[in-house]
Amino acid sequence: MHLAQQSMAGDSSWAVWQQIIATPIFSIGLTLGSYEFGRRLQRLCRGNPIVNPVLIAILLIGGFLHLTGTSYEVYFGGAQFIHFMLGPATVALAIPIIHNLERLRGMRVAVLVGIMIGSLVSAVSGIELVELFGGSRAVAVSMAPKAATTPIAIGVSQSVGGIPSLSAVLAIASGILAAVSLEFLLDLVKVKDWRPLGLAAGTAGSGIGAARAISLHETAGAFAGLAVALNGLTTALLVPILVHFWPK
Amino acid sequence: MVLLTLILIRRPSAIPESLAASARILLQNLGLFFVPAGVGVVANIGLIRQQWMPICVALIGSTCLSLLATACTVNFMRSRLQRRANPQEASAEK
Repeated sequence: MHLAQQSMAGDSSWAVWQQIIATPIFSIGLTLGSYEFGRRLQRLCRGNPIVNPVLIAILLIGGFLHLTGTSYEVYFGGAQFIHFMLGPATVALAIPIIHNLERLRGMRVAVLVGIMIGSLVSAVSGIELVELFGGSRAVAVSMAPKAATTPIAIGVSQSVGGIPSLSAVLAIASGILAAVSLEFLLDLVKVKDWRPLGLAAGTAGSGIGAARAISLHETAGAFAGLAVALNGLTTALLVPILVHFWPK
Repeated sequence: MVLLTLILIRRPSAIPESLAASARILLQNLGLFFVPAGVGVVANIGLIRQQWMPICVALIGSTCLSLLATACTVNFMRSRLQRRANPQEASAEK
């Protein structure tokens, strides 16, 4: 009897709790708080690339949603106000490009070809590797635009019959991977110039790769921003054509 | 973004301070705006668990290949173009 009463009281406070979680202000607060925590943790670890604030925030919020049994749709209903800012923030990448246009002189062709090849390699190897290891067509197609910055990856995925939210996750994961492995891999092939390093970070890792390049060197950051822009464009044009002609 | 670049490319000195300032704020917190979409991993956890192997191999393999392809192409082309334009300078720079 006593126990039953207790669980009923628990149920009603649980219902109130559920309503609080569903408010936009809660999702926004949760997102801001988790991200700020990730930033402080990275500062505490002296800017270690593996302690990525985006990754930490995602893990914290994901864990919270899992523990409270809250669906992603409920969380996203509120967090979409932060998600919306991704568009303007991507557009803002144009500013550092303009500021660094001078440095492009004499290597325009190399930059264009490099970004296009990086974009093509990412899309083709993404689809090919998923299919080679027995993944479904939907996953393969969702993998194709992952090198583009997240809003573009979502849009392209939608248009080619992929799973947009999976493409978003893959784009972010590939950005984190590129940010973490960037210096090691370029050391391996003995590329020591900031310009190819920035271009590679922006092409393979989009926004998050660019964020890493910005923190390494100003020139690398500018070239990464340029690569994000051009690669976004290339991916948006290339992936639909590629998927259309890809053998089923 | 492409439009803004093309508009500003004509007059690079004419970027208003207010635009540069708001761009700076947005870019300094670029990572934050990726978080809501990234939490989508929760919504897709079933699919990812079921096909974790192709997803992981393709994600890691394809990202590394793309990084290397871009860096090597740019590096190779730049040294080729430089050598053609000015052989002495290019070898001296090495």
